Amino acid sequence: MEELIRQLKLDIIEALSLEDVVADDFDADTPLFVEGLGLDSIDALELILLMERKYGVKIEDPKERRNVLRNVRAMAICITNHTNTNG
Amino acid sequence: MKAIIKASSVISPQHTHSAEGFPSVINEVISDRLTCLEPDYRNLINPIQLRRMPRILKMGLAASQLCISRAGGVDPDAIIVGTGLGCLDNLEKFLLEVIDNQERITSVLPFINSTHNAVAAQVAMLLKNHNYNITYCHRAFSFESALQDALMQIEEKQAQHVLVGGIDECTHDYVKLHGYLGYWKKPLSNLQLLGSGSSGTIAGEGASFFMVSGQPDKDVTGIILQGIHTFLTPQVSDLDSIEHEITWFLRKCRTELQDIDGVLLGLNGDNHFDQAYYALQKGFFPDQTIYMGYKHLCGEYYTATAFALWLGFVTLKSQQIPDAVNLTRIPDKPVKNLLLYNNFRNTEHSLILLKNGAL
Repeated sequence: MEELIRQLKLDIIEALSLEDVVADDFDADTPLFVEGLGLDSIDALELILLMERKYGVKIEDPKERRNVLRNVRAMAICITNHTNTNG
Repeated sequence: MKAIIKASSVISPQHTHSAEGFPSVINEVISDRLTCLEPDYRNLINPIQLRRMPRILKMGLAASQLCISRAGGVDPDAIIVGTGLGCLDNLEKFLLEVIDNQERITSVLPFINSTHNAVAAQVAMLLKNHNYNITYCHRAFSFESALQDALMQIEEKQAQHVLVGGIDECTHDYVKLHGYLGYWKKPLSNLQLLGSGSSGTIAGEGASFFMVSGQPDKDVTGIILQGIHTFLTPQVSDLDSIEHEITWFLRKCRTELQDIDGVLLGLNGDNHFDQAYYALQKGFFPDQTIYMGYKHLCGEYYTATAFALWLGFVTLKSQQIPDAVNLTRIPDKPVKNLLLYNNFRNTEHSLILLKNGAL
């Protein structure tokens, strides 16, 4: 799980062009939106795309999306569950 | 129809962004393209907004901010931009993503940032400006159309201060594809471009902005944009028609041919299209006319006349003709009237008249 969290942080930094941010600047429980990293709705779309393209996780339900994208740990748990379920 | 140019700014392949005047050092590049020397954008644009911006947006926004600042922080009544290719780099990215992902999911940002009017729109959003906002995309008439619209807005009293820009970027694929069509020379020094006498030219790019105003400052003198004229495709060998257009345009601007002190020519080193410029230098203008060239500094692109307008503006303002652009050996003399003549691959021809004087 820790390795996946580390990789997700790097993926987020790259996908969102967070030029002045490094992986150690935020932890797995730091809120991604508004406070914490201060991301917005356009970033959310990019994160949904990242989950789908790189990790094969497609989240259709808007409520579940909001829950999964609240921090890096929630994203990692979602990916792990998806991998365990689908092999 | 005329207006005063209050301020200018240009981000170009030369060191032009840090000050309004002509740079003291010329950037020499050995290549088939000239790309911009860019400022540190973090000093000009909010870093949070910066991260989503493609290069051309950064260039356009930074140039517009510099221009507004040099104009004393004027909030423009209209924002008008000309661009031949728009945000081409992001358009390429978006279309490639559509293909790579088999027309299914695509990233949002390249689409948002791929439209031609993204620069004008972002400038307005940054300024929280809800006034007239338009982008012209007419190949090599794009900037001229923007400038013409600015003059019309001022003439019809729809606007007093208009922010006008010309922007285009040089992308890898653009250069590659046009290279197949023979547009470019093999890599050579840009400083040898104008005398090269062979086929092709050097690709270029730039972002130039001007604050054009119908209401002069108290001293009522300055650099006046006297008029613009565009015309299409006279026959290659038909110099008479080009001379006729120039004569007609000058008459319209109530200026005699003998009053022209200098001509800024759009020479680009391509022997297929430079003949018209050479022919004009042989006897059409008065003997003491100073000729200048500029495309060895910025490269060839659809809105290169915006760079020429900036060069004309700083030349008239400083009353100094930089050696790097002076094609004649005539000693410096006062320059009052400056004519800009450009032809893009002998298709789109444009004339712009600048005057140092009263509005």
